[in-house]
Amino acid sequence: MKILIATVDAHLRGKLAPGHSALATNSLMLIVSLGVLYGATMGSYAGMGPERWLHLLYTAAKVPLLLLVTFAISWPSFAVANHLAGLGNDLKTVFRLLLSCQCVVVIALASLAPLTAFWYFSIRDYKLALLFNSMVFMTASFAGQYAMRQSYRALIYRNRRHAAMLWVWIVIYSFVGIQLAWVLRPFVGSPAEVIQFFRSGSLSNAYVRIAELLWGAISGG
Amino acid sequence: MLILDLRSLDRVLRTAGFRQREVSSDSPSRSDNLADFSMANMLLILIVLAMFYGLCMGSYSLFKPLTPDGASSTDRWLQVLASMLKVPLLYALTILVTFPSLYVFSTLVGTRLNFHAFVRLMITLLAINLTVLASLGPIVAFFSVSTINYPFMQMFNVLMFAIAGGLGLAWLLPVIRDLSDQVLPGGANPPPDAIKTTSAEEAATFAETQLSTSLPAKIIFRIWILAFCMVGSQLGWVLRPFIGNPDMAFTWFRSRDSNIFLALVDIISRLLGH
Repeated sequence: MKILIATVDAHLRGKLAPGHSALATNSLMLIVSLGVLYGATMGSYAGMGPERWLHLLYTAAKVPLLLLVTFAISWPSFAVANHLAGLGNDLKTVFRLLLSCQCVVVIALASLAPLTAFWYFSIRDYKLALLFNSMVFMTASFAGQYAMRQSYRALIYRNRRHAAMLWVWIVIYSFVGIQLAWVLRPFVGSPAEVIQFFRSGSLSNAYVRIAELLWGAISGG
Repeated sequence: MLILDLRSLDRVLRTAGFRQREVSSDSPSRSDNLADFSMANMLLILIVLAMFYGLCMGSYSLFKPLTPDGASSTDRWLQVLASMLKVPLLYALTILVTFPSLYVFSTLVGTRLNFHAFVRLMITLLAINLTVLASLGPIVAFFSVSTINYPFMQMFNVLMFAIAGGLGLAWLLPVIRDLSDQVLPGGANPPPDAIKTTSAEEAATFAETQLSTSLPAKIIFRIWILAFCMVGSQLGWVLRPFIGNPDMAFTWFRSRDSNIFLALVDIISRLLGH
């Protein structure tokens, strides 16, 4: 417990030792464990009876998956962009820093888990549960961005092109993340629907769906 | 038999005392307002204080008139027992639900308190809150004996909790002002309330304090205060009955419906006889 708090504190304050060799494993463990914690809480909306276990298991797996896969998909293109901008030398630092920011996101999520559980307990409304969870995710990603901006300061001081790179990362990451979250639905799990890992028809595209909704609103259909 | 060291409670209250709210130049950090105390002893004291208030609150059910289909005499004592268990539970759960996010987000924006200091901050907040609450207990007990008006007792208890919580938070607000060592680029503008001080020396200390305080930390604490109040009051509703409606048989918990905010409107309208 003491070690966990110390690690969490270090991530939040952006004070990880630069030569920390076990950082990657350490971060990975943190992302998985805390992600599972929030995932399970999020999936508990429709109850925790034996018939819902499978759903709890699914959502518990999905949150760490969402963060790690988004990171894994976004990293290569970002690394190439950094090389092209002539920032290849800093790449190791950048990787560490971004991984630490993933940890901040998951720490923020886990810290909000009791609040989510309490919300579920007090307000029995599926739509509001969805809304609350999206607020939680938004808050957590703001926390991640805040941490990123703080830790990027030193890099930007060294080379101003890092400021532009920061935006490149935010754009790539959120573009991938939104679609992955769409693919990984359902998270909260409507009590009325059958339990499944992917929702049927989930391979449609978040952006196409948004465009459809917008077009529907404009054309009055 | 454990003997509670009440002196530590006394020390905590004195150190946290409102007389220290003026910033003295030698101790600009209000986080110094946290006294040293043994955690286990303090927690035990807090539980006892909360249980005492629970006893006073539940005593209404001992004196309320028996209705034919309502409470039996065992139920009366069970209600007292339930209230004694629920008041500590109410505070413990409220802190449990709201504390993790407070710690994470304020650490993220760079408050200088570490985890241990945060825990002590919370305990001190609870100590103030529960001491005030327990001190109001005899008044509640007196009213429990002397009135049978149920909506009145409901509102009266809500008021007591609000007073206790309000005083706790009134202590917390000045503490928040000095939580961060992060200096904003260009310097933060001192909020208008900093200008109220009279002497030049005090004004200078205030400006210094304001400079070293980051806006995000303050915002996060304010949001947390709001969350603390809302979660606390809703938890109070979830954990009811605390007082024991004379028209209902005793249950440990009631059904999960409505929420505290709708219920308050209803209680007030019944109190006013509508």
